[in-house]
Amino acid sequence: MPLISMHGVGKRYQGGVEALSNVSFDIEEGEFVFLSGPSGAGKTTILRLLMRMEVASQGDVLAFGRNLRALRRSAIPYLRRNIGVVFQDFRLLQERTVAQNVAVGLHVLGLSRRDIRRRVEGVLFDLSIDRYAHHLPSMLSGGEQQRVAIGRALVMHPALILADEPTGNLDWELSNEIVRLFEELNSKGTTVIMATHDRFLLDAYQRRTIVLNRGMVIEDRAAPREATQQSSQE
Amino acid sequence: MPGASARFVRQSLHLVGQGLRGILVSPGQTAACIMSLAVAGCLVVLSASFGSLAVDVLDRAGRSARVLVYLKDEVPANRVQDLMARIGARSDVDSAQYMTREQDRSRNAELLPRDVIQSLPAEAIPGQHGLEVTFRPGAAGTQGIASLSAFLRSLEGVDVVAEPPVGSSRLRALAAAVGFMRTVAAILAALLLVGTLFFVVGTLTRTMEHRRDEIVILRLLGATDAFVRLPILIQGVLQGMAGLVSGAIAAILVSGTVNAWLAVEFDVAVRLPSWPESTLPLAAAGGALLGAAGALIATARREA
Repeated sequence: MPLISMHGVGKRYQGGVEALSNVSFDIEEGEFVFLSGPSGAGKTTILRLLMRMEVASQGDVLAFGRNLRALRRSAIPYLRRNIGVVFQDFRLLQERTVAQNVAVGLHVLGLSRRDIRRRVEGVLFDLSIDRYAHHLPSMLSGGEQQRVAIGRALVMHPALILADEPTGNLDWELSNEIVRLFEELNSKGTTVIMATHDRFLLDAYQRRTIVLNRGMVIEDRAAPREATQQSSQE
Repeated sequence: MPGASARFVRQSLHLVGQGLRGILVSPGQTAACIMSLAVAGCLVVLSASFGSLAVDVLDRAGRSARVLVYLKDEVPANRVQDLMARIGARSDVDSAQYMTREQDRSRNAELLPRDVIQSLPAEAIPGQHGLEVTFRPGAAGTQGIASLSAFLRSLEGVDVVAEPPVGSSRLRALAAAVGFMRTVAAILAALLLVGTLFFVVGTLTRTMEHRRDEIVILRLLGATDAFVRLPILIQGVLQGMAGLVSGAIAAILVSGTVNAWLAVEFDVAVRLPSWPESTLPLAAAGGALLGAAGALIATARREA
């Protein structure tokens, strides 16, 4: 059973803007998938549907075996605890330190102070930003701030990471760093879905890519590695 | 399940901490909010207290009133005895004493200027025999006076039932005026509290504005409605309690000062009502309710 499944999904916003039309794809557990396409293609809408920040107008969106259209409001927080989100603009709390930013979600889980400290220190170390633990975000570079944002997602031990243009504000070198970080997480079993319109990244990292345009899937390109495996099986 | 209990306790402590932190978001506005609640609470309690005092004073005036019953000239002494017995048998009457014409005349003379009295012959000052009826302590008020007066007028041989020094009709008018003032004060107090409620809502809304980014992040990380809204509720409850309890304490201090002044200035046993032990808990409960209402309105107005 796929981790994520979309079948005939359409999304029409108030005012009649059609963001998605008849979108269908499956994503298996442990996959690394790029969502690609120009601005306004529907990448962010797909991520918002998966976070249950929006509800599909048509079709079915299934995640973790649950139909998100039928999900009760009270069940949404528990769905989101399985998902880590990373944004282009980092969305860090500027008046809190790096460690406090990473820890913000752990209070939701009701962990003890000791567990929170242990998890935060571990994540900061893994992301090589442990020396900034007591710095404010404004004192860090863009790449470092994005690492903090990734740390905030990772510390919750999510099964799925949704990244919405996480390299949009970064230069090529830092973008590479971030994608390599996602690859590393993916190699440990975390499913990653990353929206990007950066062709250089798509070319550099040969991963499955779902290409969108005007709200429709125009191409679902398997990773060359997977494609090779498929052809050898045939 | 000790793990679940520990988690619940940790989350509760965290939420209380967040509520306290919310108070510090805009300390000036929070202080102004608590101050306005305190003033409103103080005024509410004092208006209720002065209203009770006024009613108490009127009641005492009614109790100390004496009704003068003027008898017709031809009523014989044995009939006077009979009337005194009938009146004295009433449960609300303490005593009924006979008053001679001379006693009534000398009482009337005291009401006239001295030079007028000296220029008049003694028989020119009116005097009529009658009865002086005194209420039993605690048996009368404004209603009691009206009831007794009606009874006295119905008796044979009674000429006039005189208004007491503070007339019953005047007492009734005063009581009505005090009742009206109390109603007006209650309405004003309610309006004042509604006004302060909006102050509470404004302060909490500001906290929510300040925490908007954090709330968005918390939502995305899986925070429940309760986790997001409880700190706002806690902040509102703490503000409301702090405000109304301070107001009640201020009212207690003010009434203590007023009582001390009354004791020095007036030789009367009239005091603001003593404060029941439940005043502060009631103020705390009222403040908590007000704060909770403010939090509900604030979170309903703005998605938290």
